[in-house]
Amino acid sequence: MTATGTFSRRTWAVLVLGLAGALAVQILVATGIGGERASIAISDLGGVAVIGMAAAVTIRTALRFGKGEPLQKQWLAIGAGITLYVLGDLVWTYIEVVQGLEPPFPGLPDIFYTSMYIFMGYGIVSAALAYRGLVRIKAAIIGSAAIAVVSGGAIYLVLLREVLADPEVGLLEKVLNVYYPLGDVLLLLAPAVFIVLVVAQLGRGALAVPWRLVVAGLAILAVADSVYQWMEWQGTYQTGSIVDLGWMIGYVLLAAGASVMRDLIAPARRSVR
Amino acid sequence: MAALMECVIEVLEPFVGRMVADTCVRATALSLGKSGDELESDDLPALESNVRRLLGPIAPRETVDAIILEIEGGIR
Repeated sequence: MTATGTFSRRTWAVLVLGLAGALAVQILVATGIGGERASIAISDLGGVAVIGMAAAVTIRTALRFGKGEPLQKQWLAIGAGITLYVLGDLVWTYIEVVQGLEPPFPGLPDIFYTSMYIFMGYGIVSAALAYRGLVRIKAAIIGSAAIAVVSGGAIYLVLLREVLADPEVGLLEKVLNVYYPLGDVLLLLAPAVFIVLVVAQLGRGALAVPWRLVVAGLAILAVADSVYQWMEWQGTYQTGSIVDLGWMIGYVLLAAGASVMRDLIAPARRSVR
Repeated sequence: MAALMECVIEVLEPFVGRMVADTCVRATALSLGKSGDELESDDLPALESNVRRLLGPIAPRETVDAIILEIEGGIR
């Protein structure tokens, strides 16, 4: 997107290829082509390819900004978060596809998945705080805190109460079962609400658009994660489930947001020359 | 000099929206003890410095540079 309100060809390519890739993976898995093992391989490798593309686009955007620029730190943190998720998926894929085993929970992929939240949350919150000289952020902080408390309470009632009370669940498993949904609420959803309330004050300003795409992506990720947690707890999750599509689309939208922010550099360069 | 205020708002608006652009200019004027309409070309350095300070953390450096150039071009 430029200041005139149009997406660049690169941004369209990220959106169209990313979403088409995600849909193609899901359709191939749904057809069951090649049998169960092939479907699992397509789902795992497809996810790594689509989300890996999103990580590459985001990191490239971050590196496009000058060293020491606040935007570089913000997008590097988000890019690092996506990269950690891809690394987790790679380990998951290795265990499931190459070794032919059920990935353990808790297991090695969880180290990467849990780290993702910290980088992503840091990137979004620091981006929102960067607007503090320009817009009012107090109401946005209160709004996001309220959403976090309400969502946290709902998750406790629907999921965590049961998990914590189950005597057959080990301590580490309990910790992760609490960490993931709370991470979704505190480190993805609340920062997403925070930044969307901040950039809402920019109206049609072009600098709001990248963050709106990021927020759309984070919302989809938070929903996909919550559904996954619930399905996993009910024992109904299988690789290739519809939540896998949610993860891919969520990360593609983050990458599109990064690409839109990069687009905003172009008119400036033309003017300078 | 309402023209200066309008010019700066016009340059900033596509990036941060009308309301924030307006606030940005008025805040600078206030820090100089003036109203937005009283801003003069002598106040341009203070205005530019404020624009750079406020947009620096949220916009690409090259974009901020171009905005400053556009403001200067609009005034001259």
